[in-house]
Amino acid sequence: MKRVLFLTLSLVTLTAAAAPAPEPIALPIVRQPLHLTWFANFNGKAAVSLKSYGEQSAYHVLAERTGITVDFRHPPLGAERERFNLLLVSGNYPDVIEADWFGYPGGSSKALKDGVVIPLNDLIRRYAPNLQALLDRHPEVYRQISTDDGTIYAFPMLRIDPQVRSVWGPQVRRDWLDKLGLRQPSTIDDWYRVLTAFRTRDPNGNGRADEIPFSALTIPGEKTVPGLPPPLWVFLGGFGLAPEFYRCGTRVCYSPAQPAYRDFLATMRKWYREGLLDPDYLAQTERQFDAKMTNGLVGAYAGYNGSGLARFTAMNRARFPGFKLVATPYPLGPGGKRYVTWPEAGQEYMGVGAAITPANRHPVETVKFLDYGYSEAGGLALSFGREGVSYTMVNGAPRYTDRVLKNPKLSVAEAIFAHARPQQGPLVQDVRYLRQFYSMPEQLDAVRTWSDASTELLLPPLEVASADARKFNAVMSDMKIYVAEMTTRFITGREPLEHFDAYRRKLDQAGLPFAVAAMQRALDRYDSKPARPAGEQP
Amino acid sequence: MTTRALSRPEAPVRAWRPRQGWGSAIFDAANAAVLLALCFITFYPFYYVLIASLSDPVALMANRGFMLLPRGFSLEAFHRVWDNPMVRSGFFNTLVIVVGGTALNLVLTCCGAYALSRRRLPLEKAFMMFIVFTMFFSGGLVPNYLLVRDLGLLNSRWAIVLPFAVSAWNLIILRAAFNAVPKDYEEAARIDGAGDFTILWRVYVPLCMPSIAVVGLFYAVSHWNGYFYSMIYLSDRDLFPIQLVLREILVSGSTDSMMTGEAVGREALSNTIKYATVVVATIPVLAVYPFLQRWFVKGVLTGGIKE
Repeated sequence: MKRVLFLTLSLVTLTAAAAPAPEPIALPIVRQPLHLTWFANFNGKAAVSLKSYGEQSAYHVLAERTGITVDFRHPPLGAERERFNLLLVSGNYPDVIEADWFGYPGGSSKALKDGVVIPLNDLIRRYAPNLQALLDRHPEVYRQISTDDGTIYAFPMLRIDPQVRSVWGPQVRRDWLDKLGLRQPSTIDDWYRVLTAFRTRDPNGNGRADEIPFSALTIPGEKTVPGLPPPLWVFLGGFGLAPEFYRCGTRVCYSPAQPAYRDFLATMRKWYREGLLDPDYLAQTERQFDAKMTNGLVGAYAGYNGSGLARFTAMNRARFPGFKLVATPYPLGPGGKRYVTWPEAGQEYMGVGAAITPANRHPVETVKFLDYGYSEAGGLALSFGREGVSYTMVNGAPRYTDRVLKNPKLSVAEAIFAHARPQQGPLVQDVRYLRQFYSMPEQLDAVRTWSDASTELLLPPLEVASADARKFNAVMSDMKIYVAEMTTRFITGREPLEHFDAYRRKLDQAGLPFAVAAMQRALDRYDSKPARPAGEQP
Repeated sequence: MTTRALSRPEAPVRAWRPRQGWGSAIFDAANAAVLLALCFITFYPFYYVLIASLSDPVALMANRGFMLLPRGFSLEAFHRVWDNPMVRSGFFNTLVIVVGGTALNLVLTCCGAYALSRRRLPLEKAFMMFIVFTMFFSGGLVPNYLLVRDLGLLNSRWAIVLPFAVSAWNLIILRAAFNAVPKDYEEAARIDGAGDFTILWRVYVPLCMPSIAVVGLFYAVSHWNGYFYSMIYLSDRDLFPIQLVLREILVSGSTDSMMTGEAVGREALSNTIKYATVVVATIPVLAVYPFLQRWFVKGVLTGGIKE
C-alpha cells in the first residue's frame, strides 16, 4: 500500500489541491541573473572531483532554466560544526543556510527566534506550489518540518519512500546458513538456534570454534543508546521495544524501564553466557570489527547497506569462495509483527534543510528556486544531473549513463556527486537513484527486506518544550549513565536479574516519570498539529 | 718498557673484564636496552604508517596485531594520493605559507627583539608584561574570528599568517639572545656611524644566527603542521594547505561512510590512502631537518672582542 502511495508521489503532478492556489512557477524565475550565496556542508565523494557543488551539472542545469546561480560556501570536511557556529556568531549570513536544524543549539524554533532564519509559511503558500502540493499530500511531513507552533523554517531534505529510509538493518552469512541447512532466522528463538549452530558446527570449516555468531559495533558519532550498541537494537523489536523513548500506542514509553526489557536482558544474558554474542560487543573499535569481518569470523550483525553489506561483500568475495552476506528480516515481535528499530527509519525529515536568512534580499525568487527542486523536472536535475550527459531517459525512467556508472577513475558515488547530489539538500530522495546506486543484487534485496517491517514503534523527531528542557536534560544525563551501567551488568551476568525491579524503582526515583511526561507533552503537541500549514502568520 | 713489551707472551693470562668494572658494564647494557626500547617506541608509529601505506588494503584490514613488514604490497594508495589535485595544490599552499610566513615572522621578531633588548627603551618592563601576558591568556576563538572578519582577511592566506606574525615565546628567546651580545659591539658600530637598522641587520642578526635559525625552525614547523586556523578561516578549497587536505582525507572516510553504497573494492583503499597521505605530508619536513643541522653551530661569538 505504502509503495503504491509513493509511486503516485514520484510522478508528482503540479496541480495544487489547496484552496488558495499558489501561482505556478514561470521559468526563468528572474530575467536579470541572480547569484545566491549558500552555506552547505561538502562531501568527501564530491571533493574528489569538485571544488564546490556549484560545479555540478545539476546546478548548471538549474541556472540555465531559472536564471539563478548558486555560489556555495563550504566548510572544510570535518569542520562543519565549528564553521556553522562561527557563521552564527559572525552575523554576516549568506542568502541560504543549509544545515541540520535539529542540531541548532536550542532547537529549530530557537533559530527562528534568534533571527537566523525567516518563517516561510506565507512564502511557501504563495510561491512554492510544488512543496505545497507535497505537504497537502503528506500531513506527517508538514508536522515534522514545522516547529511546535507550526512554522516552517526550511526547505527540507525528505525521504518519503520507506525504501530510501531503509539503509540499515540485520545481516547474516547466507553461505553459513546454507552449509548448515538452516533458514533465515525469523523469531528470537530462530535466532538462538541459528547463532548456536554458528557457534558449535564450525560453519567456516577451519576446524576451530573461532566463529563469532553475532558481533556488534558502535560507530563513533552515531546516535547512542545506553549500554546497547546499535546491532543489538534489532532484537529489542522482538520484544515489542525500540531504543530509548518509543511509541507505545498513543503514549511515549522508555524501553529500559519496560517489563519486556527484562525478557530482552534475559535473552541477551543467555546469549552472552553461551558465547553467541561477541564478548567485545561493547568496546571494540571499527578496526577490530573490520578485522573480524575480513577474516570471515562473524556470522551475523547489523549495519549499513553500503559501508557494511556492500563493503564486506566486495572485500570478502575474493578471499572466501561462496561468501554471501545478506539482509535478514527484523525479528518477529509479539503480535506477529516485525518492528524496525532504527530510529531514523521512522522519520521522513531528519532536520536537514535549506533555510532563508534575513540577509537575503530576494526571498521570493529564492523560494521559487528552492521549490523548483520539488518538481519532477527540478528533482530530476538535482538527483541525476544533465540529461544526455549524466543520465538518459529509458522507458520514462532516468538512468545514469556509463560516464557515471562505469567511470574508470571514480567510484559510482564519486561519479554521481560529480554531477548531482541525490542524497542531500532540499529535495525528495528519489528511489530511482537508489536502485542504481546500489549496484549489488544483495543491496537491492536488503532495501526490500528491511523496509518490509512496521515503523509504528518509532517516534517522530520531537523537541522537548523549552520549559521542560533544562530539567529533562539533567534527569536524562544521569539516567543514561545508570541505565548503561545496569544494562551491561545484566547482560554480562554481573548483576542478578532479580534486581531488575529494584533497578526500575531507582529509575523512577531518578526522575523517569518527569522525563516520560516531558516527551509525552512533546508528542501530544506534535500529534495535535494541524495536518497542513495554517493560513496567515500573525 | 721494552722488556715488558717483549715479555708479553709470558704474561699471566687474565680473564677478560670490562675496563670500568662489571657493575658499570651491566648498567651500560641496561641503559642501552632501555634507550633502544624507547627509540623503538618512538620510531615504530612512523614505521607502522609507512608499512601500512604500502600494504594491500584488504590484507591490512584483515590484519590483527603487530606488523613488522607490509601485508602484501600495493602502491595503489600512493597513485590515488598523487592523482588527488588537492594534494598538489595543498603542497603549493603550504610552501607559500611556510616560506612567506616564516620570512615575515623572522623580520618582525628580530625587530621586536632588538627593540626590547635595548636598555634605553622607555617602559620596557611594561611592554614585556604585555607580551608575556599573551602567552597565558588569549581572547579566544570567537573574538579572533570577529577580528579577522573585520580586518577583511576571511578566506585569504593573510588570515593564517598575519595574526600569528610574532610569537611571544620566540620573541623572548631572541631577546635573550640579543641581550647576550656584549654592548661593545653596538658601541663600536655606533662610533663607525651605524644607525639602529644597520646595527640590527649587520651586527646582531649575523652574530645571533644560531638562535635565529632555531626560532625560524620553530616558526616553519608550526606553519607546516598548522591546520586549525586554515580550517577556521579558509573557505576556498584552492587555498587549503596540505595539513588541512590531510585532515579532510582522514576524517571524511568516517563521516560519509554510512551512506555509501559502493560495491567496488575501492572502499577498502580508503584506509591505505589515509596512511599514504600521512607519509606524503611528513616526508618533506623530515627530509629538511638534516640540512638545518649546520645552522645549529655554536661559538660564533668567540673572538670578536677583547676584554
